[in-house]
Amino acid sequence: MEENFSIGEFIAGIVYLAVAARLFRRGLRNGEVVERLLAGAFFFYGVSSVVYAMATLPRYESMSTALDFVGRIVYCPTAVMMVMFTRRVFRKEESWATWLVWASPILLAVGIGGSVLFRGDWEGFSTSSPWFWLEWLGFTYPFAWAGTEAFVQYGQARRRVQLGLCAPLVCNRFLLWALFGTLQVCAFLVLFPQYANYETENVFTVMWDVVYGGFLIGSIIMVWLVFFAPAFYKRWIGGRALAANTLKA
Amino acid sequence: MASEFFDIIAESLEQHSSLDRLEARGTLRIALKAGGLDAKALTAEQLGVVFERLLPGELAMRGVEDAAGVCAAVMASVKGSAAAGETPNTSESAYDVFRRLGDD
Repeated sequence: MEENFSIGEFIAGIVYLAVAARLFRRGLRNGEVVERLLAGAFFFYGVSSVVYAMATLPRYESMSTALDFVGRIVYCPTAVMMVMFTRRVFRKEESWATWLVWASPILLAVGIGGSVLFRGDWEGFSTSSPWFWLEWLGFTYPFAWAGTEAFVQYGQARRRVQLGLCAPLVCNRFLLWALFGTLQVCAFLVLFPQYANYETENVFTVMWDVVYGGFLIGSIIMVWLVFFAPAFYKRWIGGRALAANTLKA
Repeated sequence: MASEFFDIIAESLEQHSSLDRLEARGTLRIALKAGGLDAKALTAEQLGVVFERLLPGELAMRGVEDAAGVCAAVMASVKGSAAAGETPNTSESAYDVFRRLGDD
């Protein structure tokens, strides 16, 4: 049973591609590097998710290993661009952040290279392999870092909102981005039991599929609200901030 | 590492109040933290709000007389400073990026 895994991945892929298109357009318009970096990250994430979703379809069963490998490789630029985005936006001046930018591609290259060359694991689902853990770290910490920095900014932005130095919607975007990072990390944590089951039984079990799908859907909602927040949501956030400030006054 | 702007303000606060260097810098940092602001990325607008709404209370708590007058004097002294017009880095750019993210 792989329905939830497939559907969750597929929907995530489409949303990420939509976000990438929007950011590419804006990046071309304003010439800003951060928009292009984020657009690239979401583009590769979207393509990778769609390829992973295709691999779970019965129609492509004979090609599933090849598709999983393609999805795995195409995902790598996502993690690298995500750390580059986080460094550029939140830690531009810090030299230690450069190490975090380099760590992701190194971990991914060593993890994927090692698992393919020494274990013949093209899919990257083998949790019993030490190479898996290097790769897992390489694609998980970029989201953990992004989430942590956004949470820190959110804490500061909340205080700035009270002084009229930060728009409530921007403050809320920091929170949404932090939750996006957190939910991505949660989804990646679910990969342990999910892949462990796959390794022994060659199937993605329903329970972990549902949990993984839930985290993915949660993170999609966060991304949607950051980039495509509907008017009622914007009004709600603005109204809440106004009410809070009125109460304080 | 604080910005040059922060150093200028802290120095001015020290000159206009009874606080010593360490106390002036520490009090300023506490006020900035209370406002969710970064000493490395301080703008003139942010400084104005801090000196109007946060710092008078912090100074009064530390026994500085005429806290509002001290704040006004410091603001007047740093207004002409070249560093006051500098573009801030980290915190503000994060704000700018996230402000742009959801815009149509």
